[in-house]
Amino acid sequence: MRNRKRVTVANIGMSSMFVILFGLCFAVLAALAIATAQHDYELSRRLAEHTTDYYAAYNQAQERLLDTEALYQQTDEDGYASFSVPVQEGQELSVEICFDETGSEYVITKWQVVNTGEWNGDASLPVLKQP
Amino acid sequence: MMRQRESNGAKLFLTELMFSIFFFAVIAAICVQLFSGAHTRSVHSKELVQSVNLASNVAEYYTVWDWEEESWQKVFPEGEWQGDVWQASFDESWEPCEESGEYLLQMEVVNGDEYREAYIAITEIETERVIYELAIKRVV
Repeated sequence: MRNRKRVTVANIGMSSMFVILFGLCFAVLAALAIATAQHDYELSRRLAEHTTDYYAAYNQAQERLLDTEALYQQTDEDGYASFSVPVQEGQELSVEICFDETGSEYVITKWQVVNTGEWNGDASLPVLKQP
Repeated sequence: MMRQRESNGAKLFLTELMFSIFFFAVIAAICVQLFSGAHTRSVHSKELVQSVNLASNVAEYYTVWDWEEESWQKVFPEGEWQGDVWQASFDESWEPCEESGEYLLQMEVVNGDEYREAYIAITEIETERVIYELAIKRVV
């Protein structure tokens, strides 16, 4: 009889423990799923933003190419003229064109997104200070 | 006396089980909503990436080919011109399809004096939600 009583007492609280355990597991998994999805979306949004900015710069560069007279005045002795349009912070679209001898026609010799930001190679953390 | 104690223990156990099931149901309902939200976010994220890639591909093709019909037909045989608007349908896995699919890619070409401008938009057909749009100019 004593054994029976002990079994009954041991069972009380077990279901609550299981609920707490499963609840915590679900909550952690849900938080991880939400965080991953949010980060993915943020990355996608930044990609979309960058693409939109690039094509905005592309359109600006096309507008600049219309004014051939102004560009021709900027040419060096080899007939090259260049300009750049900002894409995003730290990036710009660099364009270089080469005019023919008459100055009426040109060939695009460079159409490149270049990095203008400074690269900081020292990314170390002060974890251990040298004595 | 002993039977009464056992009966009380069983009642207590059943009451606790009932509360546990209730709380489990509440937690499960909240978590299912969170999982559902994460799934929706993930689907939107995938749609956005696919749309951006598709729009930039079409924009690059446009910069090279302008609107030569033969060249467009080679790459997008399912696409068709309707006046100044070129459109192509894509199914749920973003494969081109001839019949109306899940997504619609449209490119409207506007002729200007100095530029020819193309507006590229990708929409979800069912909800008519514009997922991504892009404008690109080309000197005539």
